[in-house]
Amino acid sequence: MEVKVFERVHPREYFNLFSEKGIRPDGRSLTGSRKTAVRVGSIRTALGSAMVKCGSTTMLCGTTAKVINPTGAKVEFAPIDVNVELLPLCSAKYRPGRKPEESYHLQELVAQHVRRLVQPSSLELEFEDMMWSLSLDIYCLEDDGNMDDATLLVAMAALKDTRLPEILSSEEGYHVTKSRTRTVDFRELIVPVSFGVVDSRVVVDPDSSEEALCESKVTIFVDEKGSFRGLSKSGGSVTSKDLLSTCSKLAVQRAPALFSQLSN
Amino acid sequence: MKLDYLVFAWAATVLVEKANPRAQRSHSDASFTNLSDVDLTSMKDSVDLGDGADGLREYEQKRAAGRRDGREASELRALKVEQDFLEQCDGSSRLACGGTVVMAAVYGPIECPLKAQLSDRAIVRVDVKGASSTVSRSSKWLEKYFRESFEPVIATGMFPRSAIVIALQVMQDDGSVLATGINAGMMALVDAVVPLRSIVCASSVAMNSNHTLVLDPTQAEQGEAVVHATFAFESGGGLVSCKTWGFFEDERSFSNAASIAEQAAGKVQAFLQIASNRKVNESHSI
Repeated sequence: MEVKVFERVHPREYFNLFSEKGIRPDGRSLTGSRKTAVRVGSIRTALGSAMVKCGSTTMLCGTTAKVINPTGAKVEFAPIDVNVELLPLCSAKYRPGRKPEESYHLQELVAQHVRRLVQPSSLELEFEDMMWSLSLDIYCLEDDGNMDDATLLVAMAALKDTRLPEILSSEEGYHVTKSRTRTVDFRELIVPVSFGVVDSRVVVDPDSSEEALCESKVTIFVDEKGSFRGLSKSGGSVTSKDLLSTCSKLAVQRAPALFSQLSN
Repeated sequence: MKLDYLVFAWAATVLVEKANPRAQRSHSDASFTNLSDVDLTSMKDSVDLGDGADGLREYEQKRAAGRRDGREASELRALKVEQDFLEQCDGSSRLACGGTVVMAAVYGPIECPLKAQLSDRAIVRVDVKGASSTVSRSSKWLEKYFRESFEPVIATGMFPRSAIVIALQVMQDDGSVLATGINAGMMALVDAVVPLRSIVCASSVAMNSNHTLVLDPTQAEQGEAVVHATFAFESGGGLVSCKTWGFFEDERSFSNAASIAEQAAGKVQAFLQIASNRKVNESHSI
């Protein structure tokens, strides 16, 4: 049987032929990640933008801002809205029309991540009861697996690249200047490292064919000092504590590369 | 009527066979019927936590959490469950965990539209309606989370080209909605006699600014927490799913939280099994 046909008809057996030997169909080891690149500032019309390529998975993010009047109570989380668009162009999985479930998942993931990491005080304006509210528009240009990591990275990179305009007050009212000097400050940066579990083997940074075979997905959050900060496991089979600690160690190894990409 | 009884009895034996070894003590005896025989608070002694034991002990020592409702840090809210009260669906349950009430209805296995059918197994669909009347974005995300928690334990391979629909309605939200939703859904699946590989029980833990871990946080406690997480465990032990809001300080506080949640999940599971047994025993007497 031809290799391509075998891959289509028996995807699991095809993958196992490689994983038994400790490698994957694209040549990576089980613990190897794809080349990740972060580029900022490509969209001139947005206040901040970034593009992340993790292998073939490409995410693009632009930020815009508007002024809001918070209702007086101290703002605990930064007001950031997230919109994730998964268009049919990025993968055959998504059809035109209703937003796929994945996009709601990514919206929730990014929103609750960045709202806690961005300092609300960096968005507060000098005028009474006014603050910036940011909107992130994230587009997937290609979905080749592990969108969770790419989306979180692109959101953080775009926020880091964001420069807010100055607002001056005069007798006529408020006046938005063209100067873009104000930055968005982070409490700290925390990156995600995602794993797939295929037949009880942990694979780092699964691509789309591996994701389809995964029995569960685990995401570990690591901070700049290299400490474990959180774990997210989205259903699937049961994972043992050993497997989770393996993931944790691998995540700590992978994190510095992601941080260095973000800081460029 | 007789057939219903047989099916229920089978469901009960399925539950008992798949019983969590920790809970076995309470219902492996066939004569068990008395609810007061089960001492849920002493169940933690029979659990082997391994590495988590130190963390648990340490956390137990600073138990004075000063919670608004007077609970201890490791205390669950009162659980109340009602089953089989909806006529049209195959199984239903309403679970109240303190002020959080979630109602679940299960239809399954039922006919599935041709486009959505899978040739080798049933699809699992979850519909979530939040406490407020509008459809919020978060309820869409919740549907994915719930589906991924229920799907692994449902024996979907037994019903190709069918659908199993789980409808969850959050009646009241006073914190730990995700955990209560999973527990309510599981109860409804048992009530509907959907074949299950094991039981999944969930509980949530919050860490407040004093670095105290509190179990089963209320809405207010969730709001002021630095980090809160919902864990779902399978009856044999083992993490099925986990979702965190915020970030833990380090691996140790995470594993402490996971240990506490695992204990609580065991208690919830024992409660659910008691409730199911009671129901079977009542229908026994008909």
